[in-house]
Amino acid sequence: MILAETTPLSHQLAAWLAGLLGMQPNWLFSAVGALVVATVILLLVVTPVGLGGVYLERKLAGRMQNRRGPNRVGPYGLLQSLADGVKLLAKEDILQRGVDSMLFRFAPYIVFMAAFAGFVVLPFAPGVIAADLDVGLFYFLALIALETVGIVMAGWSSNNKWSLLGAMREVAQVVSYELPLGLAAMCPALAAGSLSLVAITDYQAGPVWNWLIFRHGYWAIAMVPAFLLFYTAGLAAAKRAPFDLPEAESELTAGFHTEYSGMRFGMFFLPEYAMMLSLSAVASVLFLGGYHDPLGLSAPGGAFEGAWGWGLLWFFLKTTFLFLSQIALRWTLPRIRIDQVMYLCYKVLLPIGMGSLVLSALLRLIR
Amino acid sequence: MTPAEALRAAMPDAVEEASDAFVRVKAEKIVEAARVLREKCGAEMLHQISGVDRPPDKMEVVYHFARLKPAEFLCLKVSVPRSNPVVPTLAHEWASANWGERETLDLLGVTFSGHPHPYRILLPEDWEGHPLRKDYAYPVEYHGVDCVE
Amino acid sequence: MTTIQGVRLDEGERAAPALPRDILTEELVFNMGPQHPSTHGVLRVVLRTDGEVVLDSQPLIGNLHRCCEKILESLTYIQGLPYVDRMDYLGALNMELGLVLSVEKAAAVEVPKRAQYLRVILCEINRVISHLFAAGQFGLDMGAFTPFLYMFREREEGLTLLNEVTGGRLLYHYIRYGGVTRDVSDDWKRKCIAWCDQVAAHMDEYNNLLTYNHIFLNRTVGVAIIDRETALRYAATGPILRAAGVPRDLRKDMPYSSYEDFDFKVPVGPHDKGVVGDSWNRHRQRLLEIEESLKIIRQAIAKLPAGDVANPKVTRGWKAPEGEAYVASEAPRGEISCYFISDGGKAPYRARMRGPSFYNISLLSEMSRGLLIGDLIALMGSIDITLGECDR
Repeated sequence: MILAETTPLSHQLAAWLAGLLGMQPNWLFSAVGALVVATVILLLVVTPVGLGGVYLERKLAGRMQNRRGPNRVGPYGLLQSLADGVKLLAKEDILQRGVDSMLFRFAPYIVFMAAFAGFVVLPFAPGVIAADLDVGLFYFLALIALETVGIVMAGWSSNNKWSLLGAMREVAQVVSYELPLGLAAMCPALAAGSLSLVAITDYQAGPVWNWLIFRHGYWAIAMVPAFLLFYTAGLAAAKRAPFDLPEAESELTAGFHTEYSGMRFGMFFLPEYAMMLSLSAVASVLFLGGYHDPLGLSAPGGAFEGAWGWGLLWFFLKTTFLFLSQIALRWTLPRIRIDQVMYLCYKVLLPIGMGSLVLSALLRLIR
Repeated sequence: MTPAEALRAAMPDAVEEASDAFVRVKAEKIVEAARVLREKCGAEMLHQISGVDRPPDKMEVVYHFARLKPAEFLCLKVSVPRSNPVVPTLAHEWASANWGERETLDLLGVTFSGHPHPYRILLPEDWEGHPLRKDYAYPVEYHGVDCVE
Repeated sequence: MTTIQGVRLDEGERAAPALPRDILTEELVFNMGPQHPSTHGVLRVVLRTDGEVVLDSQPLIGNLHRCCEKILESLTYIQGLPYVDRMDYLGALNMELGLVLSVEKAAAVEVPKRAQYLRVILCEINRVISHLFAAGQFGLDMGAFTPFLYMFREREEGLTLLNEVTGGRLLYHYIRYGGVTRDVSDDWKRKCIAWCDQVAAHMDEYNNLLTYNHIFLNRTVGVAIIDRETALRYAATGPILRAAGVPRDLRKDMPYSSYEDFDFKVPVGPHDKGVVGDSWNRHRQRLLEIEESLKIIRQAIAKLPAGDVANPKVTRGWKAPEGEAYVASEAPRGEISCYFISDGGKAPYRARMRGPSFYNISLLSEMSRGLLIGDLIALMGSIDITLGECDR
């Protein structure tokens, strides 16, 4: 799929389908194309994310803790996630007494949808994107907010005060951390002049000093704090340690998803890894150059310009690096208490975010 | 000074028996006796409250106080009739007596008058009997569960 | 309205707001139930909270009550000994020593010097592994998963050592009236010293990863301060009392089993960070006590005298003559004691065991007022309770 310009896959598919039937591509073909592409991406992305992410985490956690991690099921334990998925599917579906059954059933789907819908705006490689929205970044941040609704539904409908406590903590935490997250995401958008993730990626085309995080050197004073801010706020939005209070194992047993078992629990479990991955992906797109390699070979005029395999490889490497660092953080650091989480957000991260935004604006003006 | 000396000096008519190992005082004077130990003998901790069943007619409550420097245990004993074992509570002055007395109440059936929270602590609320009594009859069943082997 | 042991279990018909405020909020009555990852056993705490702030908490114990004292009165002396292990199952040798010391004092049984030194060595190993468990578990409660497993690595080697001598990893049945059951070999002594070196070498790792971690400090410094007066009022002993600034250690103050022959310090709070008596100091206290215990083990192994490991006069059907005694000793969690009365019969007349956790838990109610739930977890984790010795 070597392309001269970036056209969303769904449009290409729609055009091809229309050509096959000898008709002009209209809204119906676009809709079918979008549906097919979204489903394929979901299958191609959900499976590795769900299975591979969990496997990576367990192996890395094991090695960090002086043990091996899963190594019985399949060679090197590679089939462990599959076995766990089968186990979850085979479990009894328990709906305890007093549970609000409509909300209880619906909540995991909202969380699942919010987490995985974010993948449609990620530019995996030049030309490989499900939907190149002009407001891709904004869409992505809005989906994080949507996830909160599902979690509150889960916590409330569980008829369990501990779940409720976990859900309340989660609302406070995620909603608060969207502020620094948004501010940090605005800095690259300001620099690149667009909210579209593809446009931001292409703005960073070139060697490593074109990447926004150290663009021309002097941008680093605004971008490095913004990157760290995005990463930290992203950890909090994804409810990963050290911000994993909403599902604090030692305090609330399992927080808002205590009462969920079987595949319903799987529906909460997978989106957590999906969220981790998509936040890592967006962080690498915004600050680390997305699918561009450090040598600038995929920039216009370079040797691998437009090569989707090359871009996919670098996108994958950067995302995995951030993903693994999130895992390493989880197994190293203790948990932060909820009032300290709030203090950190409003009194530390928010001023840093505002400062970075102002600096970015100034740098953009004087550039 | 030793507990025997201090108590004989402060409340001679309450002391029933005194030796180096322990001092037995009258049940109704236990609160004042404990106070004397705290003020005159330096007892800072109520280390242990034990109930001892002495059939056929007596029951004892034994208090061990701890002095920190020099480290020593001071012992007070109280003897009450087995048919009506009532002892004033120390819980208001010694916080560790709260749970210690509840345990004695639970396992032996001694009543501590004035205790702020006189409920069973180790056994379920609806348990019948006091296990540490020498004439305790083991239950046959509890809530439908057969207790006899 | 349901109550249990006089504690209200639900909000009732109309829970009055705890604090006068413009927004009408209600209290929540939670059950931090017998099954909970952080209550270290079957402890049930009924919390009354205003959101995240705990207004009152009532610990409800008794879920592990086996009436061991009645059992000890029903079985012979030698039959009753294993039951004492199961009280403090994490520091079982120390618990055995608690009963045995009182009986030996009442019956005036002599214990050979070698047996006393062996008791010291194994009880100190038990103390080290118990503190490793407690410190690691505290980290786990705070969310730090990894130091827990690192400490378990050392604990595992210690359990292997104890297994080799006593035959058990968690419950030992090693200490008997008048001595111990088995002797140790030179090979074992060498392995023990090697283990001491291994634990000492890893202390830096624990401190860097957990004790001086910024987030951990934020969670535990100044949190749930149990000061000297509170600890003494509630008879909370052991690391709680020492971290509160009271230099009381029964191994120094009322030495038993030849502890006076060894040279070791007693760490007392406050330590280098935090306020005296706070959760961080209790955690640091345990790690410092591990280091002191390692010193004792090394000295005892070096000076181990020759001789019997048991008093030959104490046979299987041994009965204590009439008498009574009260001896206290220092277990990992606090002071244990046994008020032992014998009437010359084949079983003790009264063997009243004191479990330190019984008194340590009792201060939960007062200390938890005004804490956040996260701080309550810090309090319970730093007190280090074991329900076996609380409920007996």
